[in-house]
Amino acid sequence: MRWSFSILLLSGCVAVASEPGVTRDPARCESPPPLTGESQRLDPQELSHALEAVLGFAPDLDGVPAPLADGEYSTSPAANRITFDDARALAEVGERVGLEAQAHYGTLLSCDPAAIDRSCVESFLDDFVPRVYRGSQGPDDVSRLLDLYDTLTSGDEPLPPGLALSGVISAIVQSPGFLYLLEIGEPVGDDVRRLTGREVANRLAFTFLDAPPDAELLAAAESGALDTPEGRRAQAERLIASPEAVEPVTRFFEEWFGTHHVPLESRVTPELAVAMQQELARGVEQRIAEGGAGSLTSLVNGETTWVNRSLAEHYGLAEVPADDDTWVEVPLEEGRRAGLLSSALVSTAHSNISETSIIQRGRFIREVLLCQHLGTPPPGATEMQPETAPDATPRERSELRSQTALCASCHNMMDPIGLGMEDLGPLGRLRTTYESSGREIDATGEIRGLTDGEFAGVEQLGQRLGSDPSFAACASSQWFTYAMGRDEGGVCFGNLAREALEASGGDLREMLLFLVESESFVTRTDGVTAGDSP
Amino acid sequence: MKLSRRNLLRLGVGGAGAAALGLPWLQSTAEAGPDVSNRRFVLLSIGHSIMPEPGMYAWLPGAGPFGTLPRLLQPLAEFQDRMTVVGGVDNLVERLVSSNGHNASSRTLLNCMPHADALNPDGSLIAPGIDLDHTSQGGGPSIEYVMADLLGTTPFTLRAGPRNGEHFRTFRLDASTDRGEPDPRIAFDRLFGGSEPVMPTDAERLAARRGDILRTVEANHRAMSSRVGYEDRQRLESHANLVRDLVDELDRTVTITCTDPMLNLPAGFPDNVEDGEARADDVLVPTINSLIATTLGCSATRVVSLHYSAMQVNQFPFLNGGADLFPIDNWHAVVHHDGGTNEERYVAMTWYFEMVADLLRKLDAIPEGDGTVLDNTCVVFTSSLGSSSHNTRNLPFLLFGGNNSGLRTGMTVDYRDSTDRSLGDMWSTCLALMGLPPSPFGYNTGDVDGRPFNMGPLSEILL
Repeated sequence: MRWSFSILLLSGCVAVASEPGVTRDPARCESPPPLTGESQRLDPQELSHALEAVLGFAPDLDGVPAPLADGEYSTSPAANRITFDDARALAEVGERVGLEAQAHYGTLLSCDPAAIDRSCVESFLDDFVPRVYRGSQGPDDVSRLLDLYDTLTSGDEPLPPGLALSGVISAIVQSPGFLYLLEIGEPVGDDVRRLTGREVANRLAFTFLDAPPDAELLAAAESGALDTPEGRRAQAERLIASPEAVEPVTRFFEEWFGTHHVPLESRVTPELAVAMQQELARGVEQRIAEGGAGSLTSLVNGETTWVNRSLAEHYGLAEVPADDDTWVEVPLEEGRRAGLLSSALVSTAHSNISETSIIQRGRFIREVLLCQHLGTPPPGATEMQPETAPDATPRERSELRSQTALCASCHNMMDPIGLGMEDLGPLGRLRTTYESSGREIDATGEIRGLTDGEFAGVEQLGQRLGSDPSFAACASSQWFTYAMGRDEGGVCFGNLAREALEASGGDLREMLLFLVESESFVTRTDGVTAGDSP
Repeated sequence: MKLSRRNLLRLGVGGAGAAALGLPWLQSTAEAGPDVSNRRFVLLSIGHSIMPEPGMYAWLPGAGPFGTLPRLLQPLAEFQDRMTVVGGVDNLVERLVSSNGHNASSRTLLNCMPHADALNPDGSLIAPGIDLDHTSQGGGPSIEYVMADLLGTTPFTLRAGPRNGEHFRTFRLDASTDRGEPDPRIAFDRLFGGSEPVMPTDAERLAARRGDILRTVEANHRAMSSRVGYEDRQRLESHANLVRDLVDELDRTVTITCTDPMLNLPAGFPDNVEDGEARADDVLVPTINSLIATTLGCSATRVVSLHYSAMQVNQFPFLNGGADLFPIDNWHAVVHHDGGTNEERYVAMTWYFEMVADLLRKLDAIPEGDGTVLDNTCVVFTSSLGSSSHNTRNLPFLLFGGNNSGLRTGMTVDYRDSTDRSLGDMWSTCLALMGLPPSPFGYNTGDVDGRPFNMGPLSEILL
């Protein structure tokens, strides 16, 4: 689980945790288990790349269902449930793709586009289906599509061959072999299935590039090179180094830090909104490209950032780049040396519209950066909110909440963290007083349950997080959950990754690559073999 | 969806000023007079309380015949002889689950069922108090779908506003979520899209064969499901079922009783109808109302629902000379009395009833038999919250209907004066208004706080 609440909830809720402050995985795992759960559904970007790879052009996919953005990772099963409306949208998109393909029959077909017949269509499908289904085709897939062609070219209103082929392509685009990253595998005993080389290649490519595997990756699959952790790592290193990996991998960090759907329109200018998003993207891209010891923990304790003119003016820096197209790396000022944690976008993402929220920030640190589950508020939580003076500080409101036992058990795990970040305003600028009341800010805080958990200000918070192994383990766990599109297995993976990360000195690239070496990356189970009933 | 006549989608920009009615179509040929078989149902719902002043149910006049309506309902004065206000209706099912103030109230409003995670496969409750959050799925179909299925039609589900993460409330017969179509242009096109064209384009010819394509897609999903693991098999079977439902929808024949339905877009119609700030609702909502009236007047369906979904930043600039109405950009906080003034809330909340009145006028402007479409329609307005503190007691219910609606009107019935009633009773009443058997609705096992989930239709408001 990544998020278990909404911004609305945190603006006024009082939370109770079933086991406040306790890491969700008390069990120690000796080895990465086979994964359960559903295969991933490709998102619109991935579908576009997948179609372009087999059709030779990027068709119009406007309207294709996108993952929901309700607090879960975009790769999670919950974010990718197909609804009735989605099925209808896919039908409309499929027909558009089929129609668009007509203009490319000259390159797609081995016959004259003006003289398409059944044998031409059969020849096309024999070649096309294994490629578009990425190796998951079944024995009857081609014949079923040929039957559709026959149906479309017959009846009261038969379609001409070219248009009937468009209908067949439409069906392909809506079919599971294309829409899903299906991982059927081969049985290896004890209800465990091991992915085929082709399936591993698919997963590697979509994990790092949002695209199907290239020729080199397919060759590695064919040769058996992907059967070993070393072989998979070698390919993953190649993929991460390519420019096409920047956007897909950066998106994980945006989703992890909760910055991918922040409504900035009503808060900042369009120029600053773009700059804020770019600051985070550049910071992530730099860490991926350079890697090295400390590149992971620098996410929360880094001492530099990237700014353009809009951003430099926003932060009140003395030196301002010439324009918004000029980006420079600058040292973070004292008090804000907390990597991405103190960035404008991350600050905004976990604040209310006009003021910070110690609850949202505290919960973000506790649940998302430390992977400690807090649970949901009890019924009637809002009614339990104690009355406070209009100019009461967040600390004073928190102290009142702590006097109610039902509220304190959870809020004591969140509020002290958020209070320690109050030196950072809602848009990521340092401050010493509250703008609305003029009252001085006391930014002392505590991460209860953490060794040496007391801190003062966001910079010290970053140092505490960066030096605690829980952060690195949580980061790995979150990466696993996102990359594998599963709700389970992340905590075990995070615990196992801890050693590798310690050995590397907290190398962010090591975290990304450790995933592909894991047995969880290539094994699946659901308690039954494929095709059986449970 | 096959149509009996050729219809074209025409979009035109209306004149300056108020939103045009845009209904230059022929008189409905539906039968006149008291005829249950032609009754229509419109459900309007909102996700926040209607409480401009703390602690005061400003939407609820005193029990009995209406006198002068309270301020909030003044826009509905011309329809008060065809209006019924009902107080004392509570959401009991919401008490079976645990959630924040918005998730459970919305998820259980229209289907009276705990969410899917709280139910055993046989529909029984696993245990009280199971968490319901923004990802929890509905536990059963909502009233629009139940009603439409019994009537042999498909509900027309609409939304005014952004796709809201917590407030979805409409569920199909398989309990999958229907968030409603936010764009009236798309909805119109989907309902009245062309058929039997004289010179069909390739796209139209292909669309006409969509059923054949979908049957292959369904077969592909079922074939693949036999080869994959358990969880994937469930998902692919579910997807295949949705595709089959899509084929069923295509096969349903709808007889449109008017020719050349049109949807006129007024000046200022927004490009993006899901603008989170709802700044163009003064243009958007009347257009949606026109679409609803056209849909019912043309007998394209008998059940329509509209969800006013803007819950976050809702500044109603069109009510304040173009400037933001509230000092804070947080409508959610405002409805919880955490910002803004009572007067400002009155202005905003009154607007919703102005829009209800706009819809009623449009329905009443369509001649039908000896009366109008409104005479054969029951319009219900409600909210998932009764008060600004997330309370689901005393939910606001305003019902409207003319001579043939089956509704006893011109009065307030406040069940708090006698025995509070449940949402199950209200939806059962709506089924009765549509001439359907008023059976218990939704979850109906045991009781909660000593109250049964269903006591029967609200006979006091039925003719």
